[in-house]
Amino acid sequence: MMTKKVNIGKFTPVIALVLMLIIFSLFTEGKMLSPMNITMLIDQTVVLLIACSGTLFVAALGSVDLSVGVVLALSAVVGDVAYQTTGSTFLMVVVAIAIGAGFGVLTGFLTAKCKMASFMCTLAMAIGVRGVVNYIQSVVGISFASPEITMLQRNEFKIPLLVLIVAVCWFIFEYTKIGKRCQAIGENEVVAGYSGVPVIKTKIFAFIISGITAAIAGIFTVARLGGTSTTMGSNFEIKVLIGIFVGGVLVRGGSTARSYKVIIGAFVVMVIENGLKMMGYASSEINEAAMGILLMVILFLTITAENRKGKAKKELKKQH
Amino acid sequence: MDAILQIKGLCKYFGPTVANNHIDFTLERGEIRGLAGENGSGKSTLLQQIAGIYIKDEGTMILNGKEYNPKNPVDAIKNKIGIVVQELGVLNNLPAAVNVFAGRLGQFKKGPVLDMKEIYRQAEALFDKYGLMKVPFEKTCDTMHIESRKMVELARALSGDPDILILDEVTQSLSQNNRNMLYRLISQLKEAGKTIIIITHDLEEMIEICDNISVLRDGELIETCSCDDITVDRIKQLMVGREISGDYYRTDSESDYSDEVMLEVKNVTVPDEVEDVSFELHKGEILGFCGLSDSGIHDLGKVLYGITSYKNGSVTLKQKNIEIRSIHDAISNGMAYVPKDRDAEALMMTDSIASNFALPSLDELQGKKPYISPSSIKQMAQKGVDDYSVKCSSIYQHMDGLSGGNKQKVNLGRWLLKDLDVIIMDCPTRGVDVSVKAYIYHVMQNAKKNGLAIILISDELPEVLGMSDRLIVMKNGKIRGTFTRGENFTQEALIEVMV
Amino acid sequence: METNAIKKKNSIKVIIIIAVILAAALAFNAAFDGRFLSASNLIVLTSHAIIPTFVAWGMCFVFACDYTDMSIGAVIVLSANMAGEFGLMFGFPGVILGGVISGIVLMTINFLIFVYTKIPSWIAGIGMAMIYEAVGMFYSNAKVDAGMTIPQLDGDLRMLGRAPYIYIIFAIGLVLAYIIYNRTEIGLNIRSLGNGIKLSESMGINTAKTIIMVGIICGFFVGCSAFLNESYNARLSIKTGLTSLSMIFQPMAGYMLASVLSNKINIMIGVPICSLLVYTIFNVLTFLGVPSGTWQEAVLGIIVIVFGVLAQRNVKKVVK
Repeated sequence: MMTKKVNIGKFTPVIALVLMLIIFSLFTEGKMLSPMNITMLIDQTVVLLIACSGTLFVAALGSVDLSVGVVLALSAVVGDVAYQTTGSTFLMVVVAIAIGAGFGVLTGFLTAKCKMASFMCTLAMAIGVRGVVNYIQSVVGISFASPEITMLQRNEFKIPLLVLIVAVCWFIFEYTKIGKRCQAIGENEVVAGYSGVPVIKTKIFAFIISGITAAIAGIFTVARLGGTSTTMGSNFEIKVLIGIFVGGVLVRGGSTARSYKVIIGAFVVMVIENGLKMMGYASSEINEAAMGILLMVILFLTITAENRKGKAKKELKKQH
Repeated sequence: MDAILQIKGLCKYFGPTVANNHIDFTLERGEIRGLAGENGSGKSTLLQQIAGIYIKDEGTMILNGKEYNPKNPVDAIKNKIGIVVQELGVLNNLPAAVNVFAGRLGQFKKGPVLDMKEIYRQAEALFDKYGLMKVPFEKTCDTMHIESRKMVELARALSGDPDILILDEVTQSLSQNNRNMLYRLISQLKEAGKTIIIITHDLEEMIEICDNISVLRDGELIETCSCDDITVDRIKQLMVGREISGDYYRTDSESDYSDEVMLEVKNVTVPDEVEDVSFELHKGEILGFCGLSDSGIHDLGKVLYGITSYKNGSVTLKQKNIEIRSIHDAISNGMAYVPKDRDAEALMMTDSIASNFALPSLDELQGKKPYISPSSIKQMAQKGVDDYSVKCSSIYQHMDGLSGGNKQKVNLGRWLLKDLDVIIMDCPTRGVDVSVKAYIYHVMQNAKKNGLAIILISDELPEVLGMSDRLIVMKNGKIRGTFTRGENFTQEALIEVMV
Repeated sequence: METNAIKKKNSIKVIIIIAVILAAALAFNAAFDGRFLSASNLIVLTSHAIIPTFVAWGMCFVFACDYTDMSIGAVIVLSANMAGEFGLMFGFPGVILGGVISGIVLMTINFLIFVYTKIPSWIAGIGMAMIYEAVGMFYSNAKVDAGMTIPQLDGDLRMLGRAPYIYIIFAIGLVLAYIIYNRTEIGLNIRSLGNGIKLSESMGINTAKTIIMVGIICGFFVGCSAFLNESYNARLSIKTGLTSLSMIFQPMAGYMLASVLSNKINIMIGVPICSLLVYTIFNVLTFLGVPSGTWQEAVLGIIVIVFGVLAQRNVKKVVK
């Protein structure tokens, strides 16, 4: 009985993904599953998937990183400036990743050490940094990415790199003490601290990983766009957030945070976005309404299910 | 006789634990009743149901001949029942006088606005009427001393002019002056024909004050007897349910440990918590700490383990000559800490048993490898479950599905699986039933035999007396006396320096 | 004796701070040929500070019981447009009632959702912001389809946003906010929730009802801010892509600073002072020629983070 239940829970995100695919293919008369659209779907998911894999560490803490979108934009824009001035693609990548990591350190410090709520802190950053991105972009104007970067758009480079990045995040999260510590903090920060988890260090580390993957996502975005733009990464953090929650990770994080969940979650988000487009609802307000409602419904369902489970356990015990 | 409150077949469940099991309880008008029982025996639960804080699961309550089903504490106050709860506290960010009338502020409405002056005036009148120690009514409670806060709670309980007043461990946070005030208040209320129920750990005080005493054990009401012909020993016997001897605790009556010093504590001071504490802990020794609730014994545990930082003095692991300044220092050098609040500070309740066993050993599990293999966690958890006979469906079961006793076995086991030198246990038998208690004492003795140095902090005197080689009594953050097993090792001697 | 000395020291500190601010203002004024402290700029300053002040008052109630609401910005946008819509139909009563009623309705919906779905309010607020933004877009698109635009108040209908009316409304708001927060049963009950739901419940406070009342009270102040905004600016354009979140940052900065000072000065009185201070910073930046949308946004982000860290100085509990 018990094991059966656990299995169903494990497969919920998979079922959701398959269901979404079926529904949208029915509505689009199979266009959804055409090879061309599938390729496009995967192509669109790459950036989200990378960011989701990294942000999972923050989600496991029970915190949230709403600065993913702007960190993506800022590292891309500043990296681009570095490339334009020196002509070195390598420098661009280094600068971008350094910016991502730097913001990770800053956010981690502010939330872990200064005890600022992570959503507030990262939201303030999202707004502040967006101003900086706008400024830089207004000075730089239109720029074109280096040819090496645009090569990332080719599948023979993109797919292996994607798999590598996701696998590294998976490995660190599922098979090292860092991942376990992040989960423990999400379960109960006091317990984790008393059991020897270096809470502040771990939190900062989680935000660093989130920052770095956001920066990598930024590089891939530049590759896709062929340059930079002011709207890069706008609303991206919400997609990341929904991807994580749709996969079945609870807001409290902890043991509910698992790598496979966010991978499926990222695909679900893109399937919905893509499916709406295929059905002819491409406008931004429909997209925003759909995402907002999806977020609320998913949170409501997962939280209610969790509370039910807790209650059912209590009832069961009562009978003993 | 005139019964003011009659309770029949009252039951209350918290998850797997039966906190109250078919309790029949009758209270006479004008009586002072004491409730005795070990921690977790269900006495606070019983009183909190009477006061509407918990809602009963089964049974009936009849108050003044009428069925009484309080839905919340305000219902209770309206029915003239007032309570001072042991560990509830006050609304810290609101003024003291508002606290006294919180939940019933509507009565001070003057139009849509509250008449604040009237609130302060009535609070003052209330304090005057019962002779309570004055507090600044307009100040918020977070600026006040704990004793003043207790006065606010007491005033709150008295504000409904109660016929039944319930006092749950009020005296232990009061100074002698205020204790005398409380005794006067109790006799004043008795003369006015009011009924009072008292819980206090101090059984002599209880016999002194009360007319009758009811004893609870494991959620059941065992016996109610008159204070005229009962002794402290008899109550204790009823509380524990057997003679306090035998194989429940240690059987040897002499202290027995090696001379090797494991932990050296020198002049440690943390403002408002502990003051100038020095002692040595030896290999294979069980060192007990006891004291009243604000004596600083629990704070001391957190200081030794590096949770609370200290300014003066030193805590040193003698063998490795390492000073403990942080949890990391402690844990990486063979120290462990079993917190008092198991569910909030020790275990991840919504995670698996396996994860809980692995958590304190993550460093060891990973070792020099770049990864932790899931099979090593599995092995470890399986060993823990087997070694400490944890009853569970699998090692992947979540903690919140286990009973209190099994949770505590995981809590202890996850540390004892490690290679430890020193373990600090803060109330390790809190909220577990008698058989698990005996098991935990057995585990402690085994660990002692293997040379582990144990610090046992406990609110229960029989427990520290039964288990310790040496025993330190603390009061107001200071060490008041050290006792050695075999020499004047009695409850009376302890209480003398404790109170 | 000692406490007297400390008190004296503290009051000297306060005097020094005020003196420094005054001196800075005067020096700045001199540098800009008296334009900074000119009557017209002072009116601009205070009017601009009053609008976020109302929002910050509303936030005081929300934060007092440990909730957050990120959708306030989107609520303001919708309420302001309703104020415009009804104002054009019914005149002043329409402006006031349109703003206030839609503010109350929307905020009450939010708090009903917070209470009954048990979704953590910070994330539920983001979800609701997306939904409200989408509703705004649908509304404005419908207007465009009908050959109209979103409502624009003109001439006399904008009176409420001008002196002296805006000051009268401010005075009424201050009295109401102060009395509700400090002198009413509901105000004290709301504040008691800040000590934890459980404790309040055991004191016999109906917590669910109290939390929903927070929505109503906050909605009232947010609605007031909305109609003042509409009156002052004539129209408030629809926000999308979660840009409405940035609207709450200025009031939030004011609230945070006021809460830092709340042991010196009652928070309801502190809020307008701090809001004025925050707005003055932006006014100064405008004088210095710092463009909005780029560096001003960056400064806003930094201010929120700095005040947020200050407000959390003595917090010991776990923060996610």
